[in-house]
Amino acid sequence: MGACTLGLLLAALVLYPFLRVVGGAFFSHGRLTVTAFTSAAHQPDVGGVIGGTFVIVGISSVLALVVGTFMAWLNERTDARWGVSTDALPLVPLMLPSIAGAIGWLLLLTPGVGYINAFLRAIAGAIGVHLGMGGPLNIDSWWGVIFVYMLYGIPYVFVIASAGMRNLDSTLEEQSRVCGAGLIRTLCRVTVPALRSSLAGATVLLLWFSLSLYSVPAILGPQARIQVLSVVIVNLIHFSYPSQTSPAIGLSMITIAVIGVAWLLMRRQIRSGMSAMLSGKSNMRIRIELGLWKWPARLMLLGYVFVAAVLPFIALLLVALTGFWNPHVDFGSLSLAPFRTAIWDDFATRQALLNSLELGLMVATVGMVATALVAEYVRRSRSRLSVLIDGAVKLPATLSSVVLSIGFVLAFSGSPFELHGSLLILFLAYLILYLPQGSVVSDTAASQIGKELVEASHVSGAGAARTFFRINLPLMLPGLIAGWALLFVHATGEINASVLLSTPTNNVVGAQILQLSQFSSIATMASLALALTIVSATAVIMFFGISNIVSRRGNRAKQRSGTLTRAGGRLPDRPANRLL
Amino acid sequence: MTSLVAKAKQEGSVTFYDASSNIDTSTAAGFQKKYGIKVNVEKLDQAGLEQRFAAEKSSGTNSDDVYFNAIDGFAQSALKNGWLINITSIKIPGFLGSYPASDITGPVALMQERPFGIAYNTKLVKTPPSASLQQLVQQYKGKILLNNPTDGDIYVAYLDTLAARYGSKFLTDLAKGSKLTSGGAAGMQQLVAGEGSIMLLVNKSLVAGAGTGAPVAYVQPADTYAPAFGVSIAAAAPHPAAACLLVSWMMSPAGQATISSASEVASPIYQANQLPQELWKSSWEAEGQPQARKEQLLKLLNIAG
Repeated sequence: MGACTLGLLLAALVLYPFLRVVGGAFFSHGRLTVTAFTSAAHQPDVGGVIGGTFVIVGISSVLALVVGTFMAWLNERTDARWGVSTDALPLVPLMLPSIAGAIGWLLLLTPGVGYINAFLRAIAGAIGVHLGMGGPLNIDSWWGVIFVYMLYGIPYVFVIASAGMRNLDSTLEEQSRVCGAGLIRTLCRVTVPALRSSLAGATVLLLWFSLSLYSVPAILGPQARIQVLSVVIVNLIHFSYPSQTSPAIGLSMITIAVIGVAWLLMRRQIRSGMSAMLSGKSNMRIRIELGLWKWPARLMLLGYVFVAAVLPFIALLLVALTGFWNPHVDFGSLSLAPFRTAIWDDFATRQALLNSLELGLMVATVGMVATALVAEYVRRSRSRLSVLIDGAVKLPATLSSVVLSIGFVLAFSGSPFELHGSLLILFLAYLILYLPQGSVVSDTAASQIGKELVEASHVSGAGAARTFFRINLPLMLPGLIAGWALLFVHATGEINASVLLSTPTNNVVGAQILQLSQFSSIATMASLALALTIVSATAVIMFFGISNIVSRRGNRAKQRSGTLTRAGGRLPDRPANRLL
Repeated sequence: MTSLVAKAKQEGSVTFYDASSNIDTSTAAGFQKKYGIKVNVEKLDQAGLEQRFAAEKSSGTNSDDVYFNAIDGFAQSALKNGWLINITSIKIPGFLGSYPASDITGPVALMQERPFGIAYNTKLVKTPPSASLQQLVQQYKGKILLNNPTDGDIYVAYLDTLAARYGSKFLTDLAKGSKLTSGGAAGMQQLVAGEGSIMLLVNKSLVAGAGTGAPVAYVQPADTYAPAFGVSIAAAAPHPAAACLLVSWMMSPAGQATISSASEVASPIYQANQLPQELWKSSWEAEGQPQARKEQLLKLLNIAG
């Protein structure tokens, strides 16, 4: 009952601002209108924008699914795993704010003066090969944009596929290999099919992420002469006056349709039960020894982190320390002055950083607990109300964050709520924006708990709440911690909604970074982005460290007390944060 | 005026919505130093600020006191909607000071005119470019960086004047011979790094943000387009006395000197003589910024609107 009430509250929080925006676009003077669609159809080059969006999102999503799943398999099923290094580092790219990451790649791969291109030309020149003045790599291209989309999509797949593999009994794969199938054949014929619900969840997250992504195409798109839906929608609403909400909503319907279909397919997959389940029986985990391939596999895992996070981080650091972009770095002239200007000398920036961290912690914690409760309620209940709640919770995934934030301004800024300029309005907006991510992760985690565990708990006399907190929550914990990290890093560096909802009284770091990137120097912006990355990474690592200790103590205590034996199951044999 | 200062000090702070590139710090510091009243600055681009201001006012929210943006039709429509007040209606003795009354248009007092010019990399271009824009586009073909004109309507107005003066072919030639950048700050860094030799659709204040010691300079053509920026006071401002005092100070010789020196552009009182000899007028702006013309101009540059 409590989960149902919570679900209804979340649904109301989603639907109210949504209806304030969409109602205005579909109804005029009390009459239904199709202006949203006709005005969207008349936007310049709308066919090219839609086609380009599908090309970029489609190709990058497929690549991210393949690479992310393979990396998860290497880490979960082989001896390529290297402790926390390969567990947690694939999440590191998410800690670099996307706008900073996009500018980092601009600095690295611009044809003429990009750091990597300059380096490659120097190497080639040293061995007598002249590569010309531009290239060999070019970020101002379709492949450049797809590459960056893919890099930022991989962590979503890695996190969810890892959680799925951890709950998958590896004896199935072992039997396949005993029957003569090779590693790759077993991966394709046994492992991946058993992970269908996890991969379906990852696909929904990928589509939501890719279709909503604004910073990367806004920074890299103009130079490659590429426009995608998210940028056009934001431009229509945010960069034109009067705001062209009607065509923006019309174009948003495409996003709604694509993600809606993907979500329905995911639900069908989860309900079919054709996926890995964490049952009451013991799960065997056998690690495959890769032999000579062990270190190349490890290098691949670490190489991804190096490419996706370390390289753009270094590029931004060089610009921050130099004060401006210079492909020929003069190490003697590096200075910490931009850091001082961006952080120490500016009280507003320091306050924004603190506000963002506070919001990140609150949104991640509240978001994951709430979505876990709702996911379990939706899974157990087959009522229409549960379907409605589930749909409402995932609705924000189909909308541009700018559309939702306009809805929040209209719904909560003025009377009677008067939340304008408060941290509460940002908390609510972030919570709603990232509910779908938390919800998909929670759904996936909940779907892998076998019914017999819960039934055994009920038979033993435990109530619904006790069963949830003693059985469901501990078993869902690895997935939920992964979701917590996703929500924390996203909420801490959020930009799109913050542009409209933050003011000098509730300033956050995302809005501050955007301001600096537009009005100040790249060096100052890079300094703040780097500070945010370091603080976020430290917070995430500390959280996992603490949860590791708590999880180990909890497991030992429960194994001693035999609680789980009575319930007929057992906890995963790895610490909760093992996934990360 | 004395009672205005007393009331403003009692209010304690003022919120300044700013679409300028670099006047906020010095303006806020100068005002704060003189009156001891804290200035909270909120910065956005031109269209973003208009959108935010309109969204807040539509929802009945009043958080800003002073509004600084490019002067276009928005301010007049905001006056009609009751979102801004008519500056000439303020009857505080000494409010206008020596500020020229002719530079006030209803809700807006002119603060700056920022001519468009040419930025160049001093390592790659040894002498300041002095040829006409048509010649420069040919001379530096493939080495031109172009600030993204979708960032604000002032760029579209400039394109309109370029098309009117040099013909549509100039813009198509410009599209072929230039590389579009992701915006002012990123584009300026590409110029600094040497990705291009010159950069167009820029003003002097953008170059000032390139970084200390960056190899970049600015040249002002004798004739160009110069968008105007002005200051307004929000109706139902939470700090009305502090808002009036800040605007009054910005219109005073001391405020104008601060604004003028910070942004290195002309203000009504100072450096007006540094404006180009000939200022172009945008017919697109005069006609109320029709969307079809905007799309046509952007299409000439091979940019979807």
